[in-house]
Amino acid sequence: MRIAKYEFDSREAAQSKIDALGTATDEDGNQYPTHKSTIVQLGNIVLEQGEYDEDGEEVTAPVLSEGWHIDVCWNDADITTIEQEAVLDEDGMIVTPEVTSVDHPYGWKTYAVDIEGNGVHSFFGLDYESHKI
Amino acid sequence: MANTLKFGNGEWYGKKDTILAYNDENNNYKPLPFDFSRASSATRVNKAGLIETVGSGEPRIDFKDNTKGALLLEPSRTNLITNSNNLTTWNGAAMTRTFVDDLINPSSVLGGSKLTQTSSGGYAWLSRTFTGNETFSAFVKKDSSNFARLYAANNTVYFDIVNGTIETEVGSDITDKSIIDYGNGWFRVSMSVNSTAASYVRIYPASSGSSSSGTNSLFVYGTQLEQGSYATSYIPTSGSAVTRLADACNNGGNEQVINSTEGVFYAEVENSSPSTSTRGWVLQSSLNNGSDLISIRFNSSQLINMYLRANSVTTINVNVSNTYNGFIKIALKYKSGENSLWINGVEVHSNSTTFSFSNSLSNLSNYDGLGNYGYFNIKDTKLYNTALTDNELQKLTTI
Repeated sequence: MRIAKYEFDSREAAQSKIDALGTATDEDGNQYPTHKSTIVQLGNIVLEQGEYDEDGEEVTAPVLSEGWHIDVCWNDADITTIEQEAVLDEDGMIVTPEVTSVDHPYGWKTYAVDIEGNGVHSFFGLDYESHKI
Repeated sequence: MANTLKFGNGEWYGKKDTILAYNDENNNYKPLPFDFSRASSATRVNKAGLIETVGSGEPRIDFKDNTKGALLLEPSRTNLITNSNNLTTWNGAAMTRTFVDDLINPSSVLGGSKLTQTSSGGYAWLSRTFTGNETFSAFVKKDSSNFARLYAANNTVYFDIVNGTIETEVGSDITDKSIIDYGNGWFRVSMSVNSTAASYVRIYPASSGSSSSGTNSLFVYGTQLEQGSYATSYIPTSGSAVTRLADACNNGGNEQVINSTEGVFYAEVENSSPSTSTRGWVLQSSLNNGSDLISIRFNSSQLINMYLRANSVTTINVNVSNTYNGFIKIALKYKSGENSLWINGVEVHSNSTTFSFSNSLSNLSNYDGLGNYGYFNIKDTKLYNTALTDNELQKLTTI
């Protein structure tokens, strides 16, 4: 399991990438994802808080990011590529172990952002720095 | 008749990444481990009745109002409130917000917030643009106020936090509300709305079940705003939104304890959450692709669903009305030409549909390979390798 943070140009651009991870349709016609990762859409995140009066009326609007932000907790299966198959001997014992690599799924790396700390969102008990790709 | 798999009923054996069912025929104990996973931490109510955090991969046996415990299986949810327990960071309208270090809250850690109205009708608030089904919840305890009021997306619900009752509600977007006693004067109150309004969440001390006028105070712990149609376990936050990841409990049992020709699939599960997706507890083949399975399900209309697929064809798909509260006992008898569904001691459906699986049923899981996850609390599960008699099914499912 690895964590990554992304900033897309728009919500639509983000959704397009998410859909490309794989979907299927159930008997009732509802689409569901076939990948096993957890995607949290943060949207246009607040860069500067707004100001409000006593009644909650906005005095100064918050400053939002232009980009559409997403945090992903990637399931290993969705980001692991087998570079070289394991080599086994006649008895099935490993001669050369499998070689794998972990990276952002195809087309995602361009939108990856790296930050210090957890930022505006985290996964419960999982520190971003320790788990990032 | 043999009870070939037992799971729960007060006998829980779990550790990181696994939880055990077992077979004890002829007093010969054989463990039947599930693969359990949850990549993040999460909270549960422990045996002492306190909310506690457990680490990633650890199954959660929840003891809320339940001395035998129930396996808690939940979807991923995000607490969008960035300081869930310190309401001094919230906005206040005619309201002082203080953090009380020595307040005994529902967890094993001290601390919580006190809200005091400085003039009539004061409240603490956060702005929020709602995105559809969302649920706002908080643990509240009386101070001078015997009532609390929640507000979300221009809707509001009043709660009696002495007697634990829901009082007045106002607004057309409310889809669910609840009040649950956590002991020591604490109640978790929640309201669910379906709205896309640019609005607020607010908490008020209230002077009655229909008014928040006056200058009252109450204690607050563990606020939560989550996208979803019901409140899930508390996700503490301090400075950022936090996501708890989904629980998965799969691959329990094997072909030796699951009869693919006939048998009974019994479960005692909680029926309290109005989910917008279908949830199932599933016997299926090792392919885990939805080709061959038997499932006890709650569908998105909250109906109880008896579901069987054989050779990739949906063979039985029957909905029965759902008028039950809390935990219910369900038994699904399957035998080609003789199928029935029993709930709480009553046969609610039978049919003579014939079927033959193309792949043997070999595991019990909370994912059916068709996009449906079994997110509910499970107190007990049993598998029998023969179709029980009506008398036996009645006895098995009687509350």
